[in-house]
Amino acid sequence: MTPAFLRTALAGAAAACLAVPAGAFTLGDNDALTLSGFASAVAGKVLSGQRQENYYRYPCPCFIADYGHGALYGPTWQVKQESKVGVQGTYAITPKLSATAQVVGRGVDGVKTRLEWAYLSYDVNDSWTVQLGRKRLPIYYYSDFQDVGYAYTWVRPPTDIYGWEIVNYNGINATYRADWAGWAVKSNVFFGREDSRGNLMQRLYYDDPQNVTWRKLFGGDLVLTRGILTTRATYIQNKVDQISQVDGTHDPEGGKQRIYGLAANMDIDRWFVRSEYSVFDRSAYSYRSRAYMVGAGGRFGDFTPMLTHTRYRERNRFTPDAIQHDRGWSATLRYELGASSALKVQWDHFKDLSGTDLSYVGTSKLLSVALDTVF
Amino acid sequence: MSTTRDGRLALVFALACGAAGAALAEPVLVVNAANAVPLDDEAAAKIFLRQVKTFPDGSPASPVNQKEGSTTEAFRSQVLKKNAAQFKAYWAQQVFTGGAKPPPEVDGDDAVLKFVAETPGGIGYVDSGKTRAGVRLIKR
Repeated sequence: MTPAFLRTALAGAAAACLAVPAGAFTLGDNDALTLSGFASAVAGKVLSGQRQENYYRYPCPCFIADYGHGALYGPTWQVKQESKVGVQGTYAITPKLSATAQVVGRGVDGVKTRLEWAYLSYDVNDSWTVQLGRKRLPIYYYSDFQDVGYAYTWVRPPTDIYGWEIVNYNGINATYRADWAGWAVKSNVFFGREDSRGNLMQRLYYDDPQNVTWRKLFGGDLVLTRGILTTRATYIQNKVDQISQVDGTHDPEGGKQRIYGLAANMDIDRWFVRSEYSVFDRSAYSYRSRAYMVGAGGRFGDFTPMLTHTRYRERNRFTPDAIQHDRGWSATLRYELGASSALKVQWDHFKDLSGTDLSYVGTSKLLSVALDTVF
Repeated sequence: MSTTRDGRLALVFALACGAAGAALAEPVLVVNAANAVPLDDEAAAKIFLRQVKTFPDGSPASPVNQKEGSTTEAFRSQVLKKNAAQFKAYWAQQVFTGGAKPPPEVDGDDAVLKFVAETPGGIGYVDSGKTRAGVRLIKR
């Protein structure tokens, strides 16, 4: 654990101590300032793997755990890759207008605390809310609460699906909530842009630091919930610019991408199913990828076991032998530790089926242990 | 098997069921007396999870939760269909993503009844048998 990460953890713990006596998590609408937070301590080790030589600067055998933040495990136990602390403050300026900021410190990031969320939120009426500022980019079902490990069963959402270089955006969004014939409807549309200097994910694919911009971002989603079923459909489009900080080469410049996604979740008594399907269409400049995951589990008192299968496949008409293609299985056991913490153990098997021209991470098995909490 | 033994078994069974019934709280939904909108558990769950901000007739809803206890636990599992961890996880997702805000929490049946009686869109849950003037109990 780096001193910087320790400082972040201490800051988080201090904020938690301040927040807890006030009952921060359950404060009512009338309290002007609400402080809350979350933390995850995650340790991981690759048990075995195909690749023996380094993958860029990383020792192998190795396993990519979080593409978006460039978290990768090697053959020795590591705690900095996915451990994080987040602290959020919301100030109610009026009953309809509030300001929220959320900072997250990550071990993998070395650790500067970064502003993940900073927005003004205005309730126009009972159906519409408009928000302006910095937010997480809602590409997938779990994207906007991916940092909050306590809120899901896995140690991390399946990496085959959850992995792109941009995770936030600055812009404006409008959310609509209503009841349509018994279905709870939540729909969100947004516009924005994100500039990421020294992009964390591109550390996994390039030696030189890369600056990535997603501009002319426009997208929306529709979430329908009724009884045991929750479904989500999403569409996002934008232009991608990527520039090397070292030699200024563009890869790509202004390529258009389109993202399509579907998710369906079911909760039937103690049993549950989670599924998601996603398409990234970057055919304008190189490729198109498809990914899916399907998982199922059950709740038995304080224990929640779950099994998940994932698959990711690219198609590239220019360099068909350099595609990324992989499959994964994971087995997770979550245990409730008191009222707001969970202990998790997860075994992952990643099968690398990539093209012969892509020297990728290779097949590997990962064991991870996580302690997730909210405060 | 003798009839006496059957009789004893039936008595033991009845006592066991009675004890289980007593241990399990029976929460009742309660709204302001002026609110005549029919409401089933599914519609109520959407209001308490803040998936909608209104009653089915479009009038604004102001839900209140009760502090932790047997009534709250029973309400969560019977109406919201969530255990304590799922409930906490749901609100963690909402709170940290700019989503819905959890309803305020008040302490005990009397505080819920008072809030609902004094708030036109008020809705809460109390242990069965509790009531006061100015509220309407909804049969579940």
